[in-house]
Amino acid sequence: MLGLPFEHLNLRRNPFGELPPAERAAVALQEESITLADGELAQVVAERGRGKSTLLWSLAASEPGAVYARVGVDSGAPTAPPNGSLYLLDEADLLGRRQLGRLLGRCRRALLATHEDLASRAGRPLRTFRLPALTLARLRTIVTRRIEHVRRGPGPVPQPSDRTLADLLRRRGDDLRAVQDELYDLFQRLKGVADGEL
Amino acid sequence: MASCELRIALGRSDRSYHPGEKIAGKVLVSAVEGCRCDKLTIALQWCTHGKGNAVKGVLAEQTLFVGDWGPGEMQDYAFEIVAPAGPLTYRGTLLNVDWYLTARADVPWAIDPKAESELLLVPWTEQQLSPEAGGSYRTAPAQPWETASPGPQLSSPEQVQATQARNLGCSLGAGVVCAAIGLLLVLVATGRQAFGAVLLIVAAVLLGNFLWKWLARRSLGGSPKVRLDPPIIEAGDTLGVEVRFRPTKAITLESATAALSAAEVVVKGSGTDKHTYSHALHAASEPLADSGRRFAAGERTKLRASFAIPPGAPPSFAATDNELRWSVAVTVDALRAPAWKLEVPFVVRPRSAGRS
Repeated sequence: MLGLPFEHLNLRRNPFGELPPAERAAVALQEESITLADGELAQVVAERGRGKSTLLWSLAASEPGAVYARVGVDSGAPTAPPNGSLYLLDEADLLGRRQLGRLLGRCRRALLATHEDLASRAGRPLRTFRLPALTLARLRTIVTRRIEHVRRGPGPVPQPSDRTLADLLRRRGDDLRAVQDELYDLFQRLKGVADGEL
Repeated sequence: MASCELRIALGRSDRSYHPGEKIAGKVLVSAVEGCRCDKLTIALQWCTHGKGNAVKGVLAEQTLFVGDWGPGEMQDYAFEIVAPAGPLTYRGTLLNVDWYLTARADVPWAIDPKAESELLLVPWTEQQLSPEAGGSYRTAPAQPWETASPGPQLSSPEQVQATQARNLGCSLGAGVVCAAIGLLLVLVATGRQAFGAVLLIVAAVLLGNFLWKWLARRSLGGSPKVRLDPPIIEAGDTLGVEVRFRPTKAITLESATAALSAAEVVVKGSGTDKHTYSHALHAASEPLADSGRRFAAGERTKLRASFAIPPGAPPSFAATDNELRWSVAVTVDALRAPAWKLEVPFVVRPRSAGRS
């Protein structure tokens, strides 16, 4: 007999499944306060899966008028917002020197998410932010927020132990996406979760 | 604090509905302050959860009320929505399909209050004991009901083969262009020989791929015709696979097999940061002919296999970035020739009501 998903675990679904951008922004950690002054351009540099997109989405959700765009996904070559709104550009390293320079020339405030330092390519000063290191305490907070986001009601919910999280950190380093994938699989293996197997 | 609070009360405690049944309930409104409601709606929608990008589809939306609520006023608004044929509730490893009723009050100049209630859309397997009808049975409706998207977009074997032929043509075209430009750069352009050499390597790969697949087809006298019967099948039924070809010269088979598979396939991320995950649910393989069997030149050949689809087989599902895919992969491998391969999708539906 099919029941509500994860009901026996007091959850609504697997906490580490992929979330729509709005929900991802809602559960994102806000301990890093990034504020840009008028006329300031900045970049956040990190490898894949470290939380750059989540940071941009959470800024887009928290600042009225902010515009989020992703190079190559949102209508090809991005265009800057017309007024002084904060412009959040994901995968900015995919833009060529000329395209990036032209785009930044039309921006009053912009934050670029990139895998490589774009200071030389941008042709203008860029303030650089680094994402905080993924410590055990930080990972525990992220994990707890994700689990609480899908809580069904009062009462206990499953929590990975510190030992499990420490092991994940040791094996995966600061690759948050890989950690999330492993936690997804871990929750999926809990008894009574999947019934699609034949 | 919201100017009013919403709650959904379903008429059935187990929240379990079959296609064609009426999902009945009430939206309970408790107005904390007096407020204007431009629209109170109830919507039935499905949503995917899992490792892939989440997608959703709204099936039905009803407006229940437009007007004003006074301070402290409590109202309830009844609704009735016919449960669709699909997609059915599904609990998988990478993919889950869940159904929700969502009530929302459009209150001007305020955050819209909303409420959500989960429900299950389950297949008719047999007559179902109706918990609220005092022990009587409920049966599937005789009339067809509204079918919800997304139904899998079924490609026929001919379409799959046409795509394969098109890709092969592209491979040839791109290979010839790369070879021509590469040769030109290597022979004429000074300082660009390295780039020319890279293009020649790309051309060799593309032309090699074309040649390999062309030889595979040629050994069987052209691309074999594959037929699945039926292309849309109910769980528990038997799927027939037929492969027809007519070799232009005598061939000896090394092997000929049909492989059935079901898998969840989901995509996570987008753009350059895109990952595809796959999880096998079911696999079976049947020989189409014995190894070493000989076919004379011009002999019209029909090879057949059949697969029993398990009665509890999960139905096909296809939405953006989320798929439960059933397919049959046919491989015909003649001696001294490359193997010919074709993968054909088909659709599995849940077993009809009343069938044992």
